[in-house]
Amino acid sequence: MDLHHLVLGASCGKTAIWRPNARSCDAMAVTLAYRKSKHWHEGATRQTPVTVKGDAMPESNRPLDRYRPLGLLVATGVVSVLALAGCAAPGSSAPDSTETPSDVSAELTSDDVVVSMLLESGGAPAVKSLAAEFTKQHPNVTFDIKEDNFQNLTANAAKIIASPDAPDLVRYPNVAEQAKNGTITNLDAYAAAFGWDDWPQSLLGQMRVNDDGTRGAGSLYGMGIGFNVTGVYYNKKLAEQIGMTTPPETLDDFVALLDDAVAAGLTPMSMGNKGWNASFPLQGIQNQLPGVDDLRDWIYQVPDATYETDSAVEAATMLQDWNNKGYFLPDVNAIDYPTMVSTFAEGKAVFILDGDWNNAAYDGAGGTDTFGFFPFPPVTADGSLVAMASPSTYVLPKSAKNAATTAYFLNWVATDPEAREIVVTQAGSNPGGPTDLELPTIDPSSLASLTLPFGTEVSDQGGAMDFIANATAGIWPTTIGPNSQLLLANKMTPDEFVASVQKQYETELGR
Amino acid sequence: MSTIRTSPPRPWTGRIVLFLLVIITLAPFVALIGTALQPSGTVPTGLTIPSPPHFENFVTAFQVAQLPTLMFSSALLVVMVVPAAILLVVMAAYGIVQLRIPGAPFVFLLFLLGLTIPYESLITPLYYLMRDAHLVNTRFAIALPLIALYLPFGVFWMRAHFLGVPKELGEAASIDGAGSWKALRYIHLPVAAPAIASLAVLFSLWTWNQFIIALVMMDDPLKRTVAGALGAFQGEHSTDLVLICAAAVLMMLPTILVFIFLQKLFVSALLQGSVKG
Amino acid sequence: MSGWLYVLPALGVYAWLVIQPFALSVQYSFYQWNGIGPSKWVGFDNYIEVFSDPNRLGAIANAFKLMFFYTVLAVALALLAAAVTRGMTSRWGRVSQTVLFLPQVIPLVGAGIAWEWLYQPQGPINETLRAIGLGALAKPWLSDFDTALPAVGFVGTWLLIGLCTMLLSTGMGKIDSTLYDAAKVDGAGPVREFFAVTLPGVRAELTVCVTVTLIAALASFDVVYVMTKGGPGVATMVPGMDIYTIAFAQNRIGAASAMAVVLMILVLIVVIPVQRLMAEKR
Repeated sequence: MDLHHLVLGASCGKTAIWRPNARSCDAMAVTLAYRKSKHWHEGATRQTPVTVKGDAMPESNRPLDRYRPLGLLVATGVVSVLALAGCAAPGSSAPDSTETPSDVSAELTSDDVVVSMLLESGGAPAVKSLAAEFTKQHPNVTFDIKEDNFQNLTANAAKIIASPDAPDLVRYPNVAEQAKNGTITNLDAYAAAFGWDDWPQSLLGQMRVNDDGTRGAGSLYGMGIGFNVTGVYYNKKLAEQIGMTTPPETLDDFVALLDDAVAAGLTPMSMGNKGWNASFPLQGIQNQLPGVDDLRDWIYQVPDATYETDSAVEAATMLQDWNNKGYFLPDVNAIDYPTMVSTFAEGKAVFILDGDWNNAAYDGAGGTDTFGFFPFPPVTADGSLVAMASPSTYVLPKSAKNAATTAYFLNWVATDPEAREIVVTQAGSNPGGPTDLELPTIDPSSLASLTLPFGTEVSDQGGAMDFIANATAGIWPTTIGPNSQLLLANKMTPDEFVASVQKQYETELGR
Repeated sequence: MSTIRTSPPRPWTGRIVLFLLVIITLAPFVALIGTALQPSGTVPTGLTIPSPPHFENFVTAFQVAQLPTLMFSSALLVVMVVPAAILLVVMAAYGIVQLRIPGAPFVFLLFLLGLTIPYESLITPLYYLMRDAHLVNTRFAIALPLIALYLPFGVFWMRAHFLGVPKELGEAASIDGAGSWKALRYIHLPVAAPAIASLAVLFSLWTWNQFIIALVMMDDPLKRTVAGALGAFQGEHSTDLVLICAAAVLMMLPTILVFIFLQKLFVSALLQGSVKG
Repeated sequence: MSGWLYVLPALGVYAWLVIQPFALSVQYSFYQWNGIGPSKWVGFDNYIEVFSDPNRLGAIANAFKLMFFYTVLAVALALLAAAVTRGMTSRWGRVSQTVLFLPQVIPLVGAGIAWEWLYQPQGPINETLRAIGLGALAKPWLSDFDTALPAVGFVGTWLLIGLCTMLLSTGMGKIDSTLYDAAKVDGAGPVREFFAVTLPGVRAELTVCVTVTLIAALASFDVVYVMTKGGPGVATMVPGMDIYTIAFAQNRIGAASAMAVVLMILVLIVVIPVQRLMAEKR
């Protein structure tokens, strides 16, 4: 009998089923109704819910009555662990050699080459302009550019760099770890060919890695497209209001100005910590205190370096104190980075501690007519200048196919007049390169006219510090960031904060 | 017999709570649209009514966010994932419940375990598996893991459905001597239609909005999904809340429109149910 | 035995892309490994870290707190919504079902942007409070250590109500309407009807809902990732976010895998009793 005949689909809903020896559907319904009503009279509905007839679970389908799931689980676990004991350990046995490429030429190939890049979307527009200009000058080289936001890039970059078909150039700051893994190209040969070793080394040092995995010296593993510097931007009108005629020369002068701003009912410093930006003022302070060389060692992962120093505790204490005195924005942990930037740009705060990557935003809000800039002041007026200043670091993965062309491009970015112009105007940062090259002329209405000379001055004095956030890959999102929120909320003491940072540092480096 | 179902009077309290729920559900959407219509580049505060509304923000956001490319990419993934996942799931649940395969409890438990694994914990090994299969940076590297990751929920859900099916349905087929395939095809599928419809809708939405797997398996943001792109857009225009909100509205619009268009079909199937009086 | 033919395709895909990676995760959890270079066998060290690090334990505690929002609140409201809309012939029933489902329809990143904005110090919620003279109650919801977790939890409720309403409605559609007729004949009011007919009728779907929402609470990631990254401090840190951070920000695959294995065992400890309770169908 054909199945279609079974499905009558009328009297009992869509699918009435013909059954031999069956009661009619109607009868079934009536029976059910009768049973229901009986239950109601007995008031026993909750204890014995009535289900549609035939709804009961067949015996074999009560998985958890007859089987002991936890026992099963344990058994499965044991079996899999036993099986795994026979497996090879994950990962590569040893890193590839970190030899630098041989027979490197400083000439550009005449073949047609497509250089692939992976950029961070914030800095992408400037690099895209550079690529376009390069192709204009050298038509045989074109670029295949992908970009992603900072967060995605940090999550993905390590495995993309390690993959067999990696892009030729990747924006990536944590050179130490990848140099140890042997996944990025040692650029020493290119440095020799292009004369990079003769450039100011205070900035290139941040991209060098020693054989023992320490940063700051050794082989070159990355190159900057533009070199950033940080400092204090101020709102000229509001500064005048609190009686600031010249930029403060010492930290105490600066604190006095912050106090004056509080007294005048102004927001002293546009600082929000939702995006963990308290690390800026924290390090800004610590950079000026004695022991700054220990801090640099710590950032560079020098063996036995520690963050648990008097100066770190002092800086954390001061940061907490600044917030308690109302120097920062109210609800400090609720304000993200874009909000703190726009708050200052809109003239709602006297100062902001920020980097030259935001020059364009401040230029758009009035430029040097409205805003000024000064270095984060040292403790004594004759103290040397120390500032957070680091390259926008790019690395060449080991598997990059066009390393020579890419290296030529990196050299061109720092030495070609057109390229240097683009770096200054679009990225707001110092193009680096040899000292005998003149900086491009800068429009005096742009804040770059103030930040750029300062950047040069800092690197000349050897006062360029990488960010503490870059000490290890995870130190900022896991510890410095979240714990600075606790610090500012007075839920953590400066001592606890400093200890927690060091503990995480040791965990990550396996010390 | 065919009884006409009349809706019994519902208590007002229930209706009021439902109304409140609807209001709360809509609040974020209203806030988002209200912000998207403010002048671009400003930082609006909570309750400002945009006057005049700046609809050009949507045009700007549409141009910047490369929506058509991304929507095509998302749609392609849905086509790759959903039919395959539904087929696998329905067959498996049918085998476990209706055909009562030996070891059914164990198989079901195995699938249930899968439901308890967070995606984040599988991503790294999945990436290496896909890399060894030379699939990374192809859409298969997103689609295959998704099909596999949907199986536990799908089996769980379809099993719940099959357990609720009157036994007579299966019995009738077996008495007739029809093969298990025919019974599934002609008897069980029509009854399971609402459950399958719910599942298809969920799988489609989860795929369309998938973020993490697409992010890890695909280096090119333009070959990911709409959701992944919003994150990238946020990074690039982080200072312009208004533009971000406009982009967010645009990215939500396609699924909302499709859903509203299909909901007549879909919700009425739910509300009527399959066993009508 | 032919039934196995129906199960095998799904089981094959599942074994390849879920069980195998999970087994690999278990393997990784006994190593110290950065995902790229050489690895080092460390035995149970990673597990010791999970149970000794206050941050790991805090994340687990937060996941349990989120259950109230993800499961208790969401399922209760969804039961109510599904019951009220059941059999509503008016347009209103369908419209409210559709609206409640909307949060499931949109990318979570979008929802995160919207809620973040709602919770802002100057955002709509606080401005509304100020407008009706309750300005004293205004606070930075997502950065206040006391309100951050409930604020995140409520977004979870908002997300899951629609999903559960849909699943429960599907179940209610299957209930034989003669049961309702019988109830009416009996003169049962809507409340009694709900407890006598509707609730028992959706037992299987309710099991799915409770299970899925419990798992969503324990393995929550998206909402936290988009809105707070686990902050302020670690007030909203949850295991899923923790695993992500350990694996992708710290590149400690072994430690992340150990946390993942612990999380899965926790989920089982929570979910299996639910299955048991719900399967008690006599």
